[in-house]
Amino acid sequence: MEASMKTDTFKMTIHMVSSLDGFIAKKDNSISWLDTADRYEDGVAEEDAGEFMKTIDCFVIGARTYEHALELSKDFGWPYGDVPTIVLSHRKLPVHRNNIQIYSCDLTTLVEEHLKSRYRNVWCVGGAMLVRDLIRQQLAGEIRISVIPVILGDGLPFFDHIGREQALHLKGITAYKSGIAELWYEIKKNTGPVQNK
Amino acid sequence: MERKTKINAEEGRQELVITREFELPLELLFKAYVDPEIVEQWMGTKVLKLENKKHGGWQFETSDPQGNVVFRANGVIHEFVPEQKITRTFEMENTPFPVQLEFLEFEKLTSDTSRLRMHILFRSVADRDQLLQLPFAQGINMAHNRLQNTVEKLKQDS
Repeated sequence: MEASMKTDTFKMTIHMVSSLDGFIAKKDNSISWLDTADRYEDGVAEEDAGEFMKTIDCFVIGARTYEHALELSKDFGWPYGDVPTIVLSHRKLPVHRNNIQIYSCDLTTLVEEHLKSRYRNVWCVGGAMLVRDLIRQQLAGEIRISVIPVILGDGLPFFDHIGREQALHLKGITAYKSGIAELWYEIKKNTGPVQNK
Repeated sequence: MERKTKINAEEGRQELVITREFELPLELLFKAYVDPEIVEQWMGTKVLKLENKKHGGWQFETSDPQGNVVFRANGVIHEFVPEQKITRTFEMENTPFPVQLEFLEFEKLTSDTSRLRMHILFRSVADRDQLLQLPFAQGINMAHNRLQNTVEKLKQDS
């Protein structure tokens, strides 16, 4: 498997930031836990996130993630820039840019008919329901999870009862000076019969 | 991918502090907040008005590809010190969300790097927490990456 982030083949990556106990949000939505005062001296410095983002050619997000991003954009700017952004929703949502498309089809159709022929490096950045469905349906190729050095105890889980076992292959670990550990997994294709959802 | 933008939101308080160190000289970082063309590029909005002075006003508008307005925001500039600070209000038009007060401070770190500190005051804790939902931290970091990339590109083109 090619280790580089740029590939010639289609790849869907799930990216999430979570606590050690697997929560992506606290019940009260407070996010101060995302910036811990931890320091890991042997860690690497922050990479150039801007360079990294340039390799992503499509974002896929759920409806609620989109609505929050739209709220945020009013004062702080649209997060996904000019990169094509696909929103999965059965609801009618306001669309403010040419590069945003709302799809209400099933995920397999989206990936097979719309994404595979057009994009190479697709990132799913939430939310939890979309992540669950992508893993269940074996449509994502990789998971990158940034683990914040904290146990939240309660909140919105990253992996919400996937309901099936999924083998992974560890591709890399990066430890940052901030105490964040990034785990990078390849989702192995299950060869056995697909279990019920 | 680590987030370079840090957000400090203490529980039960109606304020928010956002800091980011940019690999941009101070004058370019400041320009990203005062030059209408650059603002439009990285924020993805249309600048209807941006009067960079005390008692000046600003108004941004975002439309869908058919030209229908999706949202409009405006505010008043209370303090304007070039390459140092902007104090302004932020208000969404036609929404019940109350106006907020924003202190933007710009600081030179080295000749090629600079820091932005945004201190934002909301009317209530609930108003702040409504904004602080996912993907706020990730989203604002990406918006700031966008700012960095947009301004970098301008620097190379010029």
